[in-house]
Amino acid sequence: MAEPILELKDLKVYFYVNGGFLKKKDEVKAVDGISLKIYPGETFGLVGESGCGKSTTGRAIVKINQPTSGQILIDGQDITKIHGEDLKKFRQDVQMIFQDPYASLNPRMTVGEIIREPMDIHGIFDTKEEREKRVRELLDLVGLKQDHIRRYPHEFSGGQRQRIGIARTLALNPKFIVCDEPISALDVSIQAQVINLLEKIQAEMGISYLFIAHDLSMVKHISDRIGVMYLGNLVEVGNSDEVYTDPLHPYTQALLSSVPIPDPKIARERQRIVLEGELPSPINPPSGCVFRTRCPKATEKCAQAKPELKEVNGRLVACFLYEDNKE
Amino acid sequence: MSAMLEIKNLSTEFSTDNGTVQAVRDVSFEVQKGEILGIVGESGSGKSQTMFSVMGLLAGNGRVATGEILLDGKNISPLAFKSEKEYEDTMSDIRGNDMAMIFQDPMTFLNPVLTIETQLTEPILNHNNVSKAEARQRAIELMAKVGIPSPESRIKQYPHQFSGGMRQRIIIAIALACNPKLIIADEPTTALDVTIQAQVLDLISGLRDELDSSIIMITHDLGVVASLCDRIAIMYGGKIVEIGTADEIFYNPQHPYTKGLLSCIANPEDKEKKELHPIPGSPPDLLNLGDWCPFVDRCEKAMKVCKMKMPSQEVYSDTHQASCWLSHPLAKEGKGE
Amino acid sequence: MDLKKEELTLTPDLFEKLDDSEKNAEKISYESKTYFQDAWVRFKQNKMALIGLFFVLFMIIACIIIPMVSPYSYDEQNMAIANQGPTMAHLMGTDKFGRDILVRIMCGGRISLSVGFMGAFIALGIGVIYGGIAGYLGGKIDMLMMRFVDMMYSIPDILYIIMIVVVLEPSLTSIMLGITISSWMGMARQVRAQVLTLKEQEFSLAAFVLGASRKRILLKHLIVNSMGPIIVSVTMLVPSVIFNEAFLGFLGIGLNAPQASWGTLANDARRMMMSQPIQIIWPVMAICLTMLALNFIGDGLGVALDPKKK
Repeated sequence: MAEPILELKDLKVYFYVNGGFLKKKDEVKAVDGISLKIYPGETFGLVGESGCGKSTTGRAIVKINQPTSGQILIDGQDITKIHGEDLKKFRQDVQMIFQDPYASLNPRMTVGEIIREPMDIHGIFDTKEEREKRVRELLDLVGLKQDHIRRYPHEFSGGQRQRIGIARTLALNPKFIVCDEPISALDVSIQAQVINLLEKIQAEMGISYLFIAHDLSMVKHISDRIGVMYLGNLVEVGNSDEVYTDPLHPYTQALLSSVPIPDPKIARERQRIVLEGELPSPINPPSGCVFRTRCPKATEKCAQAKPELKEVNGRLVACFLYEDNKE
Repeated sequence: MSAMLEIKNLSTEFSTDNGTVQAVRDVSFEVQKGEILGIVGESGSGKSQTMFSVMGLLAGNGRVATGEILLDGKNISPLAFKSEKEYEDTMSDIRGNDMAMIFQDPMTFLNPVLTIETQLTEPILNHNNVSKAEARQRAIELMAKVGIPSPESRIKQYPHQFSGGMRQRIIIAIALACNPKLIIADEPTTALDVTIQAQVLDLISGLRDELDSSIIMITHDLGVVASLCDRIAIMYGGKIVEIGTADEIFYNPQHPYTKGLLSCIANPEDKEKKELHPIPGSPPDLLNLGDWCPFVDRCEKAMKVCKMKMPSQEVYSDTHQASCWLSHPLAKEGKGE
Repeated sequence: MDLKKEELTLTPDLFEKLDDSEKNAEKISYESKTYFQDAWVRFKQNKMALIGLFFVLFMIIACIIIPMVSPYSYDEQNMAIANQGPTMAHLMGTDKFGRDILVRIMCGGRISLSVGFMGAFIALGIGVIYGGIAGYLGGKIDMLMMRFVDMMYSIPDILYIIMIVVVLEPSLTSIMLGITISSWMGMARQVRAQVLTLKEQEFSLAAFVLGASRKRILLKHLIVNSMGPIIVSVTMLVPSVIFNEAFLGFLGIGLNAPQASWGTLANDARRMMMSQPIQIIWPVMAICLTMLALNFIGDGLGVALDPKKK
C-alpha cells in the first residue's frame, strides 16, 4: 500500500481548565493517545458523540490546538514543531472546512475577497486579475454564480455559504482537508449537495479527507474507512461497510443501534442497545478501558488495564473481549 | 377515534422591516386521540410557527391571519376571542394543562437559578388544587417516570447539575405534569447525541403507550419520525405538501419534495453505496412567495402551471393526500411512476 | 376535484415542462448592501438619533462659520455695551467686557468640540492597538497589559488630569493629553473583550489555518469585526470628553483668557449669575444640547450596528 498522507502517532491533546491563583489546574484529556493512518485519495470518517475528542483531533492536525505529546506526520514529516517556510508549505497542503457556515466567513468581506484571501496570503499568482480569474473558476466549481463575487456572506443561504467556504479551501490546491462536521448545520435537502460536491472534488483533485461528524449515516456514505472515538480514545477502526454491518466494539454496537433509520419497517423491528448512565468526565476518566462504566459486557479486567487497538478480522478494535477469544 | 386537535385553514404572518413574511399558509390537519403526528420540514418551512400559533407563543410581530384551531372541539384561535386579554387568560389556563410543549434546547427553557423542584411543581400547583407536599410527591413520580435515577435527592438540584439528556427528560416531566391531552415536541432530540436521542425517543414512545395523550413531533430528521410516528406531514414554504401514514410517506411518496427528501438522505442499511440525489437550489424566500407551488424553483418536474397557480389537494387514500399538479389528468409526467 | 371551477383555464400547454431558466433556485432576492449601508438604513429609522445627528452637524458648521462672518471678534472689548441682554445686534447679548456672547460661544464650541472629537479619537487609536494586542496575544502578555490598565483605573481621572495640566501649564495640548490618558483604558478593555470573543470564531480560525499572519488576522478579521461596538463607544466618549474639559474649565484650570471653551464661558458667567443670569444659560445650553444629541446618536448607532438586534 502507498505511504500514508497523514499519520497520527499516540496523539495526546490535554487542556487545562479551572485553574486559579494557587489552585492546581484540572487536566482535560480531550484526546488521549490515538494513532491512525490516512492514505492518499481516501476519506476517513471519524465519529463519536460530543466531547469524544473528534473535533480536537481535527484541530490538532491543522495546528489550532497544540498536541501535548505524540506526532502528526504529513507525508512522513512531523508537523508539530515546524515553522517558517515548512509551515507555509504545510498550510497550502492541509486545509480545513468548518462546521458553522454562518460563523466561518468574515461578514465584512465580499465573497470574492474571502476566496481570494488564501491566494493573497501565499502570494499565488502575481496579478490581481489572475487571482480574480481563479476565484471565478472556483465559484464555478462549487456551483455558485460568478456575479455573486461582490456580495456579502449574509446574503447567502447556509448551503451556499458552505460552498463558499469549500471554494476558499480549494484556492490553495490542498492535498488533505479536515472536514469538521461540514453538514451538521445544514438542512437535510442541502446536506446531500455538499456531500456530492465533496465527492466530486475528491474525484477530480485526488484530495484525502478526514471527515468528522456525529451523523453516522452520512459518514458511512462518504467514508472509505471509519474510526469510532469514545472519551478521547479510538475504540474501533475499519472499512466503513464492515464496521457498520458487523460492529465489534460494544460501544460501536450501541452507537450504531441508536442511529435513526429512515425506513419505518426496519426501524420498528430494530432492537436498540440502550446505554446506561452518562458520559464520564474527561477530567477524571475511568481507569482501564474508558467505556467500562457503561459497557454491558464489562469484566474485572477492563478496570485494571487499558485495551490497545489490536487487529481482529482485518479491523482494529480496542477491547479485551476479542483478545480473550484469540487466546 | 375523534380529533384531539383540528386545524382548519391556518395562516400566520410576520411583519418585518422588509415586508410581510407568510410563515404558515392555509394549513389544515388533525391529530387523533393517542396518535403521534410527525411534522417534517426544513428551516423556514413553517413547522415550528404552526405550533407556536397553536400554543399562542408567536413572537411580537407575528399574528394568526385566518383559520380555526380546535382543541378537543373548542376553538382556541386568537381570532375566536373578543380581546387579547381574554385570549391570553384562556391560553394560560390551557398551556401546561391541556396542552404542553417540549422545546429543542432545555437550557433556555429551564431557569438556571431555580431548583428542579420549583420548576416541576409550579405547573402542578398552578393547574391543580393540591398542597405543596402532594405536588412534590407528584413531581418525584414524574421524574421516576421519565427515567431520572434517584429522583428524591436529585429534585433539589439545579439545571446545570444535569446532563443534556437528563435536562430534556426534566422538560418532558414538566410537560407531563398535568396529564396534557396534547404534547407538542419541537425538535426534542436535535441538540442531543445519538445514543441519548435513542433514549429520549424510547421514552416518548413508551409514554404514548402509557398515557393516552396525542403527540405532535416537529423535526427535520426523517429517521426520527420513521420509527415513532403514526402519520407524517411534510411541510415546505409554509404549506403542507403531503400528509399520510408513515408507510405511505416512506414507501409511496407522491410529492416531488417528499421524494427528493427521501432520495437525498443516506440510509445506513443500504448494502450498496447509492448515489445521493440532492434537491438543487436553496429553501424559498418566504418574503416573496407567489400564489403558486412553493417548491417550483427546485422541482425537477416543474411545469408552467406550477408557477401560475397553487395545486389543489389530491386524495390518494383516507389518510394520504398531496398537493401537486403532477396528479392532474392533463399532466404527462408523474403517471405510472 | 373542483379544478374546473377555477378561473384559470387549464389547457394542456400549461402542463409543458417549465424551463430551468424560469426557475430561480439560486436567486438572491435582496439587493446587495454592505454592512454600513445596512446600518444606515436602520439608523435612519431612529428619529431621535437623526435629530441628534443634524444638531451636531449644525453645531459644527455654526462654530466654523459664525465667527468668520460675524462683525465682532471673540476678544474685542467694548465697555460701553457691557452686560447687555439679547438685542438685534448681539443675539445672545454681551458679557461684562462687552464682547459678543454668540461669537464667544461659537469660538468656545470650536475648542470644546475639537477637544471632544480629537480626545475620543486618540483614545480610540490607543485603545484599539492596546486592547487588540492584549486580546489577540492572550496569556501572560494579556495579563500584564490588563493589570496595567487596572492600575491606571484605580487612580481618579481628575487627579492626574489636574496634575498634568498644572505641570505642563494650562493649554489646549496639556488638557487634551490629560483627558486622553484618562479615557483610553475603557476603550482598550472593550476592544480586548471583542477580540477575545471574535478570535474563537470560526472565520478567524479559518484565516489562521489558511496561514494568515497575526497582523493580518488582527487587522482584517478581528478589528474590522469589532468596529460596530467600538464606534458606538467612541460616540459615547465624545460627550464625556467634552464634559471633562468643561468641568476643568469650570474649576478654573482650563484655558487662559481671552481664549474660551464652553466650560470657561460657564465659569465666567457663573460670577455674573446674580446680576446677569441669562449669561450662564447660553454655554450651559450649548453643552447640554450637544451632549444630549451625541448620546442620541450613540444609542441609534448601537441599535444600527448591532447585528444581533437585526
